[in-house]
Amino acid sequence: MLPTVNRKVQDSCACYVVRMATKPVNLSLPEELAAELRAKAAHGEIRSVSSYVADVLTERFQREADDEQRRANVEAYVAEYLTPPDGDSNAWASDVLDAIDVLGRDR
Amino acid sequence: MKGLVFDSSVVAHIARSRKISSLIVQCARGAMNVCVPALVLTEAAATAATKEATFHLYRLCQEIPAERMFVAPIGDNAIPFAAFRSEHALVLEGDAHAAYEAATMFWGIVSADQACIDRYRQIGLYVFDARDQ
Repeated sequence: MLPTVNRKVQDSCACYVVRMATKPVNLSLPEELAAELRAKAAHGEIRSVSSYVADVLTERFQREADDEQRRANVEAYVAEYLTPPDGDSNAWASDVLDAIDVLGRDR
Repeated sequence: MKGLVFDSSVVAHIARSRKISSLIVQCARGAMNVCVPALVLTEAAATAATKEATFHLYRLCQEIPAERMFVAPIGDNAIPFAAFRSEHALVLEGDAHAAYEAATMFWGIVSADQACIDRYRQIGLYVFDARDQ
């Protein structure tokens, strides 16, 4: 389940506390970005710094949840239609990953 | 960005190779990217024995997040691809496309066919043998 973001955040400095349904998230925005967002809020481009941050976080949680669901779908698909991996094949894939890591650095 | 290219024999072995399944799962988890050359797909889709496997592979390309497993088109690379294919005397279009993508992106190539593995090594590609022992 996605955490819901409570938009009540402290707007007065670069430190923001976004209260989530499950737990509060302490968030420090870089001073420059915070100033930029405050200017945008002053010009009416965004509603407020806090609502902007809350929207960005909500989008990010949604994207992460979608990705997680799709990863799970892939693993279920592999198990159903292909041959599920085992310890040996996972160890082999891990060696392949190490090898292409080196390959990338060599070039 | 690191990644691997699948050749035509991977499609033929996809339903029964645990190694290929491990690579697909790793790709879905974000450990690396996988390139499926368009000509590998067209060739496999046109062959009765690999038609079903082609759909599995294509479906996985759609499902894996952030396009980490993708179909690589020939597009604007048609002429350099033709030159590469002719230079290395690669007969089969799908495998030629796979070798071309691996060579130009400096990625590893995955194969389950001994003749292809030997040929890719001669070209200087970094080859991974996907056959289960």
